Amino acid sequence: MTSKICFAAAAVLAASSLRAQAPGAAQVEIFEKNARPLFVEKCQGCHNQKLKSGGLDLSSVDGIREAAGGGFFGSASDPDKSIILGALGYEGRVKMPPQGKLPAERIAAIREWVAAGAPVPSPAPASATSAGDTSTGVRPVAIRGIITEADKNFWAFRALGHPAPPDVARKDWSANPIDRFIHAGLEKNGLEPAPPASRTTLLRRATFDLTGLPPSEKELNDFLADKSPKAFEKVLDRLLASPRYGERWGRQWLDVMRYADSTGSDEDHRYPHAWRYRDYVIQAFNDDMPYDQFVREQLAGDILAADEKSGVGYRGIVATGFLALGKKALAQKDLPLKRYDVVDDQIDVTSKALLGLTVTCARCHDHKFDPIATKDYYAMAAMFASTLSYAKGETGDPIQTPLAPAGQFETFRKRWSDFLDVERRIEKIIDFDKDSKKERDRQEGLIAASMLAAYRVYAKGEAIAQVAADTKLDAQHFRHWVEYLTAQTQPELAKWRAASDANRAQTAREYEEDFHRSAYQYDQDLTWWKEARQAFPSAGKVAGPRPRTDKAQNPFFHATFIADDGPLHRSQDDQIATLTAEQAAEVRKLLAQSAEFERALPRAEVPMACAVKEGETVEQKVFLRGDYHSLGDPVERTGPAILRLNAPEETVVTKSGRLEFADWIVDPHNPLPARVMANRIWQGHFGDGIVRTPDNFGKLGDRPSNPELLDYLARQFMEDGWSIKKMHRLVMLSKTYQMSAEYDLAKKEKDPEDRLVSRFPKRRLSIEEIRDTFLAIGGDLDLTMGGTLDPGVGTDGETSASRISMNPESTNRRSIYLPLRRSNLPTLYTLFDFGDATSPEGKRSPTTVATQALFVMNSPLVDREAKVLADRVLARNKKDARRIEEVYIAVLDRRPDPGEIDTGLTYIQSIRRRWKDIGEEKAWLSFCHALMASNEFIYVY
Amino acid sequence: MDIRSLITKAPARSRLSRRAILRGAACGFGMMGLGSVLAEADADPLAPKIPNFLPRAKRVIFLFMHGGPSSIDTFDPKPYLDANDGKPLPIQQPLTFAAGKTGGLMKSPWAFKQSGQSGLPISDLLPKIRECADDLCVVRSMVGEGVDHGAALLQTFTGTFTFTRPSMGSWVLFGLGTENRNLPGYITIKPALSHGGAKNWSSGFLPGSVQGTAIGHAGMQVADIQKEPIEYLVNQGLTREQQRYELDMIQAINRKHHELWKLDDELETRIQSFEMGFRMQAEAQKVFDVSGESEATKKLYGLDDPKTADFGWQCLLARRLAEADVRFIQCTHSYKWDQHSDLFAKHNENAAEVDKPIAGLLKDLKSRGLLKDTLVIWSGEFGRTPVSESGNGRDHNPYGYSIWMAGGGLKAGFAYGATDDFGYHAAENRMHIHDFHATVLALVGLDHEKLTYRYSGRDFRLTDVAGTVHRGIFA
Repeated sequence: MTSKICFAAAAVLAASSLRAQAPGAAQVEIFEKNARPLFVEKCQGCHNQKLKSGGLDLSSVDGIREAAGGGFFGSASDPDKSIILGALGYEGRVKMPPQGKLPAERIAAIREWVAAGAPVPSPAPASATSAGDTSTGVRPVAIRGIITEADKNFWAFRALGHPAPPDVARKDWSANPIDRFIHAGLEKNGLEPAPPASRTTLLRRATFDLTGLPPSEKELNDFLADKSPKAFEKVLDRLLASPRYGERWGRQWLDVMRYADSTGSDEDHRYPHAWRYRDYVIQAFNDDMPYDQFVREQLAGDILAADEKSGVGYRGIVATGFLALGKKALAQKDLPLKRYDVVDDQIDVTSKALLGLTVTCARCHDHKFDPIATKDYYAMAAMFASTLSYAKGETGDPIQTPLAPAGQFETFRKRWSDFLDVERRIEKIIDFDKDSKKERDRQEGLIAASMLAAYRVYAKGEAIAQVAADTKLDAQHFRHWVEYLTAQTQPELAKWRAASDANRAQTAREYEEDFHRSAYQYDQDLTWWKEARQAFPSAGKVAGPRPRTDKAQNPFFHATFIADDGPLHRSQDDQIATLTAEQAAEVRKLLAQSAEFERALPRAEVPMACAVKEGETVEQKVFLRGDYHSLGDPVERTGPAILRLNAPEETVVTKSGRLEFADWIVDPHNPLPARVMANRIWQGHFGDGIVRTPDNFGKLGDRPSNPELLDYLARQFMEDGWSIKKMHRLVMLSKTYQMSAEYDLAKKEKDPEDRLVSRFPKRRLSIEEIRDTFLAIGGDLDLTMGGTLDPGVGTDGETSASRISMNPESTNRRSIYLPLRRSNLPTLYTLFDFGDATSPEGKRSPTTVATQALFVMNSPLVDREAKVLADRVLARNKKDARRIEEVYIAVLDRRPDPGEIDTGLTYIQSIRRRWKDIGEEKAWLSFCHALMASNEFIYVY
Repeated sequence: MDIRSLITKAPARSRLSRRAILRGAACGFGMMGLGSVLAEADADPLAPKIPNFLPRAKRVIFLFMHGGPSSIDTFDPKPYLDANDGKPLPIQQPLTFAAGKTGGLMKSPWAFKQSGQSGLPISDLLPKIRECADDLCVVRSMVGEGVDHGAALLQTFTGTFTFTRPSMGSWVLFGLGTENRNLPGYITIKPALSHGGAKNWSSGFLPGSVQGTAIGHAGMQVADIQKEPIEYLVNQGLTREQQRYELDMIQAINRKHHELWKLDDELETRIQSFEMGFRMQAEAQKVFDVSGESEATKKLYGLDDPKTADFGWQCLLARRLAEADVRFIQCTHSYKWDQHSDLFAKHNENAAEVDKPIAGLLKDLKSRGLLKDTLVIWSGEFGRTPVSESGNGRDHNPYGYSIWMAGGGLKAGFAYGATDDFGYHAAENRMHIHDFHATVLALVGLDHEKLTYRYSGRDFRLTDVAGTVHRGIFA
């Protein structure tokens, strides 16, 4: 009771002293360092605005000031008497935090803060304008103080301008408006544009930019010979029409949307149909699908697919892989958390990829820098929480949607499950495979002994019964061995027949070991197949026929175990004979049924997609501090308030709201999607964007180096019907793009990072380009498009190597087609800065490290392709000089100068002279290898 | 004829100057001007750095027991369980992995014995490690949040299972750099491919060069790993001299190209990366070859016994890497400790594989004077429940579990923190994984609040916004 009275008295004192002096920076710091972390971590769970446990809100500055006003923090002169330290000290009735007493140093930190007078920063300025005050008639945003005038005027949120290309001094340096925007910037800074790049350089640059591959010798010759002013335009038309284009630019989009073929996180299950989304992206780029449509389909393609008029069809379902292919923690037991972690991933990819905004920090608190409130976050969350990502709530697998008429998949699955059900019923009585393996296991260690014993019978004429008794071998099995070995004709026994007395025992052991190896592989294959057969039908897939051990590869195992007359073979009849009459009858009945079901099994796979679906509409509330136990205010299903400022009017949201959201995102009122995508396209050509943080146009992101140019491009992009290919032509036909990469010291000092684009910035090839080009140089690159290289479903054993993504050295397909297991990406990709395939990442950061050099020096792939190239060059030409030239064209896409030819020839001669074991072929291989390892190869100028 | 004469004989119009020849191809790396070497160090995340405060340990060896060994059967004796075997758990059970499958309290099937001068109690499960009791600093109050393996591994190694973040080893390497440029600074031996896989040793948004380098993986045999311990380390086609000759040609081509682009420092960096790769190739193969170790040493680690040979090789390799100044080394006893059933038999099997190698490592480090500045950590991703599962197993328990550390300026023969009577929740000196990370960083001289990296517009830390250094375990 007494404490209450003290409260009131202290309240007046504390409040007045607080008002008297606003805390200085040092005092704010002590609050932020000593007090706030504890409040956030340990107190806010209960002491928040909503629950206000004990009348105390420690979740906001206002609440903390109120608590100070209430005397909760006592007085600076005697901190230990304060209520807070009493509670933290675990001395009185109230012990906080309830989970356990804090470590002494944390309590000491609070004491220090209390002793400093418990300073609290000033409340957020009350001047904040709510969006409802604007005249645009948009629903008021009930976010206190979050959108200011300064926010609205921030470059990224301002409406798209109509910038006119500026007047420039050099009229001749203007192939299109891009050049005038660029030249104006150069003029202002006293810089001159670099001279035009040579045709050879330009062709290499353009070909890598648009296809991720080098030009061929013929393409080089054609371009050099074409004297028409349209020569480069013709090159662009050719490159843009090439299917290789979608493979290069589709891959860049896959980085942006964090593509992978598995769930990552804890269990890393395969997304068995992810590849359809990847193929969809490649196709969309190749078809030059308008970007607004591309966005709509990826956010709401499932809804569009259901509407015949949209003409989108199954493609739309596949497109929602954009939302569906994020990381997922399948073993997570906290189901609401499991759901909202997926929602978080979907908000993250949507906001970064399409809007260039980082929104997900608002899951727990208002964005510290951008005008994104927790309400904005949960407004988006409302849409994705009303969307299904797991088949049976959060307890099921990620959704797989059949791309087939209703009922087809259900029939497929029913037939398979009926069949597998009968199989299981048989297995309950007798598991034929297990049973024969059990018998085999018993006999496997006796193979050598049996063979040696049998030799005594068929070669030495000893009595079979006597030998069996001597050797304690099972008589029946032994008889089989004798029969098998007596024939003496089987090719797999050639070595056995040739054995001498001296090495017969050793030979028998070798046969036994050979059998072990084959048996191990067979068991593995069989297990994989059995598991696949169970798992495949729910993915619309068919596991194929039962694995047969290869007779040619494993002849001994085949003859002794698989073949009907093999000594270790156990026939089904033999196995059934061990059952009771009743069981045997049942098994025979089931076998007949199984055979009948098997005939009716659908053999054609049902195409499916990893997709999302509309779910029940969730009445979403804000989760205080991101904790779903602590509910705040309800929110609408909509996009961030800052982007609604210029929106024409409210739309009526149906179901999840994704379709309306998609329309709203690409509505011309919204300046961000066009700016963000125009910037990505610019970055694809110049290495850096006009904004160097392609996924973050917020306040912590980069500022545009040329905002007028960016707005010009964004507007042009929309006016050209969101055509990405038209953007490429616009950019690549500019003089800016066609400049050389040359620069001098003055330029380097004035604009070291080339932000003003006074020369073409060289770039390092991506790992896909490096690998694909090595394969292309040798002529081994397989240009088959689409489909999957991973036949599996589900995940693998915890220590199984199949958890590692496919080795890039094991296939000749283009890199984009290599399936990516999120938890274990290929070492090669990681080595060359591929990114993590888990977070949306619009830009890779190239590094140069020694382990990359080791790849180039030692990789069998590079070696192999260098050899193919060397062999080809040697076979095709007699003259060494022409050989050198051909290598230069193949690797560096240019002709060597005479000095380079001399150097090359001298190298080849000298290395051969030094080492006897290096003949002509190996010397040329080494020379090819050296060029492939060179700096000139790995950079594009 | 060597490459030098080859180049000088090339005609003048090849634009390759004498200076370039002197700088590069012929004389190799050793003749590089000091200036450019320093420039390299500047831009280089692996260059040795000055720590925030005096380090107690220079390097870390993390012995990871994948699956989750039971604390209450190893380092945290619970008399209450002995007295109440089979009785129901008297407190509310927190979120479990195997919901509905757990039973009543189950006492430890192993007896605990006090040992050494310190009298630290360790169970009969780990008799050899028990001989080293006076070197151990046991923390009995670890707390994590992941009740499944994936979440628990990711949190143990990266601090979070919600996002992809750099791993602890990457942070340590990023913070301290490396003193041996001929080996990767962060090496993980036979790591687990499951439960987060490579995310557990990834550099996340930190520079790729601080990524953990995997030596094989958990599913591989040691003999196969030894053929090529690091991917792309071994050249199949050329002898070392021949490869050097080819490399001289590569560098000659690069020098000529650099003449055209004199102002571009990146070209020099890549030229040097090849020299470094070439040196690494030789050095690494030497370090990974354990055949020259004495028979006594091999025996000490249990290399002579098939049961202990695998983990023994890992531990021996860890010592060799520590000697070679690798900053962060991890050994993984692959996914074996997950005894939801059959605890007694299976934990015995697992312990028999690691007990001797680990004791061997501690003794060997100590006798070579390495233990004093090496931090050895032994940990699973969580402990196991005091209640039984499936009759004779235990479920996952991240709420209160034990790890131990040794060396590196720690109190020795010491137990820190405590769980409740049941061994379910940490009750005293709770050391959350964030706290553990903060403490490990402090031991190697890094302030977890100052070790930050700016990414996507904000400064990130290993400990996010949490973490308290537990100085109570410092000597």
